[in-house]
Amino acid sequence: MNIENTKAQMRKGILEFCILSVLKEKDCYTSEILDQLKTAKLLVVEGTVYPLLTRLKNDELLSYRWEESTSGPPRKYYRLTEQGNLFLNELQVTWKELSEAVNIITNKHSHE
Amino acid sequence: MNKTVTINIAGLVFHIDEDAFNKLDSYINAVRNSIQKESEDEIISDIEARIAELFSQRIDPQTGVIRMNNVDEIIDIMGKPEDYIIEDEPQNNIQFTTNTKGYKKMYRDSEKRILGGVCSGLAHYFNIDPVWMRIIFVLLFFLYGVSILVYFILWIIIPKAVTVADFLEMKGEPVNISNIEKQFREGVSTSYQKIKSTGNTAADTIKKIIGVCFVIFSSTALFGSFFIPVIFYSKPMNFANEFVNYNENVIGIPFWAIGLSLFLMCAVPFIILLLVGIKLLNSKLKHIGWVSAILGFIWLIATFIFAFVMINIEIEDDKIKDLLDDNFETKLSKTELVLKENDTLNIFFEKDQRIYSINDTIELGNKYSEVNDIDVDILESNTGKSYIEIEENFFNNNLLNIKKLGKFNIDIETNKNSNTLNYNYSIKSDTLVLSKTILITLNDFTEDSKVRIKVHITPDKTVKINGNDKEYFWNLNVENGKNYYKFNNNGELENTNQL
Repeated sequence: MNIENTKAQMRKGILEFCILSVLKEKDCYTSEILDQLKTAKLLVVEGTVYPLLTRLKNDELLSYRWEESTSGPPRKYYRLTEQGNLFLNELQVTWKELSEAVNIITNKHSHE
Repeated sequence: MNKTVTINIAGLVFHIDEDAFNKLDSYINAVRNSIQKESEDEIISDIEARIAELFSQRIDPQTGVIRMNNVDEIIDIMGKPEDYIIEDEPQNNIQFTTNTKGYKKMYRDSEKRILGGVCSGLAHYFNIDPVWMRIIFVLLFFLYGVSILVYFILWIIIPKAVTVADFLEMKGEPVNISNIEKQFREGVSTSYQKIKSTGNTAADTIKKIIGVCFVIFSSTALFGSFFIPVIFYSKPMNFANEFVNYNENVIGIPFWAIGLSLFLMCAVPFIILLLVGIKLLNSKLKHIGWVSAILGFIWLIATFIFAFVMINIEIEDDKIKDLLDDNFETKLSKTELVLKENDTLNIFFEKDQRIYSINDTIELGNKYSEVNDIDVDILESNTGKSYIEIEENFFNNNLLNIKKLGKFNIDIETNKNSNTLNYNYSIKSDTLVLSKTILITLNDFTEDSKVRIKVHITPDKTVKINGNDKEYFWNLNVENGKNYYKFNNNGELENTNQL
């Protein structure tokens, strides 16, 4: 069992949820999303995010627009769609339940 | 010293060291392999946009060049190709088994090649030494040369390993960045470097040899082609036949155009072959395809014109032949053979004696020709008397309907002698001397002249055929060496071979 691999799997699972959460606040372009995720130390490498963003967009949870940038190539700004919003709300409920469950279990074990 | 290449990522232009570029390119290819196929291009362009952004932040302000360490940095940020895999997309996991073992694909190994790299490619696939593969192919060659065909088919259908990822797949190694890096460190499979140093491999040698053969062959043939119009113009009369002159008004194509199209028809394929030969010798030559296509088009037009003319000439020729068919006259002569009872009729075949004197007096020898359309038939006479019937069918230009022929451009030499020169034969008591040929004047059409000879004899007579001239007796079973023939009681002619 590779510990690094397990960590990566756990992160990937909640990555979608986090991306949607980031976009709930305001529309962001790819680098901004990446920065926020990195600051939160959720992300070690950027690679995973690109296919994920495309998939969310293809599932119509996200939409995007192009904006010119003075410092680099044009930026792709993502925004949450109506559908994405509903999806996120559901995920939030699930996350809450999950984290409570995990807390209970991990706390019980650490108290023993 | 390091070579720098200019690249365009997401619309921004960067100068990048060649080795750094190679690595970046391999990286992007490796990433492409690990992401879902449907939205591949979109994801890659997103990734490239990000790379461009990261590059523009990191570019060396002094040199303005992206270096290897920049690329390494970016790969650290972006992650290994396997990081791009989304776990719940099973189709990619099957295809891309990064963590355990590589997925093997068949490629031609252009690095360890002798010809097209088919053998070494197959050897990689079956995990054996390429030498064994080559031995198999050489042995197969002795089996009706099977291997040549197989080799060329494989050469066409198996793709050539180009990128580092291809080389890894060919060897069955997982395509991940660590392997790609390893490849670069070993400096083996950099096909980019390969391009720079094209060695004089066996393939090149064979190409050169074929090229030289093509050039020599096609230039010789091309040289020969120039004589076609010369020959063509020197004897325009022989174009169709001796009667039909080429009539531009009837056919609608000027005479020179036929010569030209005939020349093009012959020359164009050799010009194309010559170009292919030159291309094989010098692969840098451009636009061969276009030139060949245009030449091919010209060739088609030339062929079409020539075919058109030939078909029309043939039609005209047939029409004239039909008209001339009316100008055959039949002459019939009947002579009694005076024979004693139980006598034998001797039949001799002789060459027409006149041919010698005629050839002496006539300058143009080809105005007279010999035709041997002669049939001799021996029949039983019912009248009690023996007789000979000779039917001549000959061309008579006195009957020629000049009006009908007027619309054709026909040139028939009227010869006053034409009717006097007919079939020659002589009868002297019991000896019948027949000419072996019909002497005719004029030419082509008059060759349809023919002679039918019917020898009617009473049953008590015997016929002796002298010499071995059985070919004149079409309907009789005449054999060489069996000279005596007589009618039996059933009215059938049979061989008696006695006096």
